[in-house]
Amino acid sequence: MSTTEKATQKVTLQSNDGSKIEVDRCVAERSMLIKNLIEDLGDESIANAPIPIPNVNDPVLRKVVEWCEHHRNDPPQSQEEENDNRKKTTDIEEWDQKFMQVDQEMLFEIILAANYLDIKALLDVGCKTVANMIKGKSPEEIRKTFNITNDFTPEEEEQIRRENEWAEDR
Amino acid sequence: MVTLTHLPPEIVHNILSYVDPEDLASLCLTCRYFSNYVPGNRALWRDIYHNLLDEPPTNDLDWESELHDLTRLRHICRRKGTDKRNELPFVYETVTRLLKHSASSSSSSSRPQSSSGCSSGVGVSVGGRCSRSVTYPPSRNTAILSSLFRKEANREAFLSRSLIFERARGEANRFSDPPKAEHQMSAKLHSLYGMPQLKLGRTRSSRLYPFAVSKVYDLRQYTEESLWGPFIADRSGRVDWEKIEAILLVLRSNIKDKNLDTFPIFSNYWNVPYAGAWPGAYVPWPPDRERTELDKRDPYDVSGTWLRVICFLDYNDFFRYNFPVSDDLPANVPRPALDVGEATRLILMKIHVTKIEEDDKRGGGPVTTHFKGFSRSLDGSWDENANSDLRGMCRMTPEGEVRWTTWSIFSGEERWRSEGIQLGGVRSSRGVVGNWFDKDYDPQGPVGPTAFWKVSDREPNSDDQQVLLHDFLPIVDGYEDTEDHDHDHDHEGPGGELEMDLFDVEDGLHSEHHHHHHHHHLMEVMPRTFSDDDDDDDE
Repeated sequence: MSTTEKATQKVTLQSNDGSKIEVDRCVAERSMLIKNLIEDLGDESIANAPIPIPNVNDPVLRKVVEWCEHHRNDPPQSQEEENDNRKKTTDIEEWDQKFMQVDQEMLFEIILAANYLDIKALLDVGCKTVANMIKGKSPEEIRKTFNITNDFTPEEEEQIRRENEWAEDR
Repeated sequence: MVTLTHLPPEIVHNILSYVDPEDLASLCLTCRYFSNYVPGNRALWRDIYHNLLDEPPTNDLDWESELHDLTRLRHICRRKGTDKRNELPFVYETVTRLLKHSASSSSSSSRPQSSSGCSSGVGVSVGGRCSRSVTYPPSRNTAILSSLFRKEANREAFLSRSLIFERARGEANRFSDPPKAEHQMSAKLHSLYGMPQLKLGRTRSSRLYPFAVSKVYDLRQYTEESLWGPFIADRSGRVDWEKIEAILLVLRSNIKDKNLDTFPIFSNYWNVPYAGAWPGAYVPWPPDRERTELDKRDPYDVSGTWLRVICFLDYNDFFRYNFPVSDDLPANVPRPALDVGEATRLILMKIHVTKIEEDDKRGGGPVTTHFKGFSRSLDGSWDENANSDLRGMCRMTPEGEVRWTTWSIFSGEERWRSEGIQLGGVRSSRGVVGNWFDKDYDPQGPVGPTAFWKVSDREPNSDDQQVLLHDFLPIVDGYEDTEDHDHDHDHEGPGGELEMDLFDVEDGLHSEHHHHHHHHHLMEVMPRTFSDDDDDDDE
């Protein structure tokens, strides 16, 4: 098989609730987990049988595939780029921002799926999205946003407040 | 249902590494989970530091406290009103530390530089440089500092507190001995900012230039105790930052008045805040530069081509100013503001290491580098003082600044000497700032300000005896594609040496961008001491 043939070869992914999604091999291989799996199983076997993704349900897997489709032509991230802290900013490109406009449960599911499937770029976009949700908020606003229960005793809270005075404008 | 606190710790870590330190404090106040997770989590704070700031030269920082300080600096700079002036010592400490920890060229040149990383804009990436005339790498630390001091209120609160500013405001008119710490801190911050403010305050009615001239050309500042250079007059060799500030102010005024900052090789240093004013900023060019065994042992990276600017007063003006008919001015009172105009000369220096002394006792630092070379006039005004041989040395002061001394040599005889310090430290791109004066410390002068910054390095198989086209390219960056280009080659003499007195860059620097009238005026009042035949007229 030529490289182009391989790229557009169809593979089938099967979510944990049994539904099947057919994608181009190069799209599936945005996931390092799947890429390594295909390498281990060989070209033959993936043509004949779906690849099970036991930790991801159908809606989340579809969402992840949508992201991989859009980013199918992104250059693969090299080790060097990973070390290049210059590229690490909280900026998120516009398409990804729109893509991440989902409810919080779905957002966390995407992050967990990206982590499991080893799609570093998607994981980072998800984490940055969550980080941006914390930006500029008061403790109370953060609790509300993420449904966090204040489990401090009044004494504890007072102590934590003192410890974090460095961040207040004195 | 999955919630933030139930995500696996490595994912929580990844998320929080993108959170701004200020927001982390709020997060800690939400619940026990985060108040336990965040404080003292060295790996987390290290990742936040790296996501926000440059790779520092050491991996041994207290990341958490560095980020606390950055947060406090931002708070102070956002504060309205003038009470923040009291924070000068903290601002001084934090700004100088952030600057020192900016991206060194070695940490960034190991990576391919994407054009987007070159924030300075103009030009295309050339062999590790953003453009040929930008000798410093892009830096997040200085981008943050620049944005903080873009606000006039912050410049006013922290960069405008030296005696020069107090004089311009009419607040004070006495030298303090020793100089006030507050004056020195502000002057150092202003000097490292590197783009001295020429006007005072919001109304911008008052110019600082005449007060800076008063400092730079006051012969009483040139003493044995101050090593005749920009040092405090106590033989300690500590830098007098108010002198450096005054020199920068005078030079920038001249560069602007003479429209030299239309050239990238000037504007990239004199119109950009913190332009490479940190250790290790200098990005060599060409990347395959040739280094001798001596060069490799030279911590200051001396060998190469430097652009130098020198200013001077007409000697009559200089003499009248320093030796008025009746001079009963007390020693602690500055001479009056002076605004008579100066001449400016542009010089290309090409130097190479001749000797390295390890463990030098005089300089206090571990290594002294000696160098030799020559100077060539770069501007149209014929000035034989600009064409000379050159020697010099470079070493550390006890407080850790890089001290440069140069001698200009004419027909084998030394005539001028200069003392300067490298702004930003070892291998900074911002270059050396200081004074020139008579090599025998003539008590009648003349003296004046000078600065030089490195533009290029030795091309493989090139030589140290002549200026080659390549040495030059950063200087004409942005202009080499215009009509000048063909002429470059026309003027190449035998052996490829450029005949500099014919080189079109002079026309570029002068006829196109220079006030002709002004220029001729300066020629006429050139100090007589600057001519060999007139030595007797000095007195």
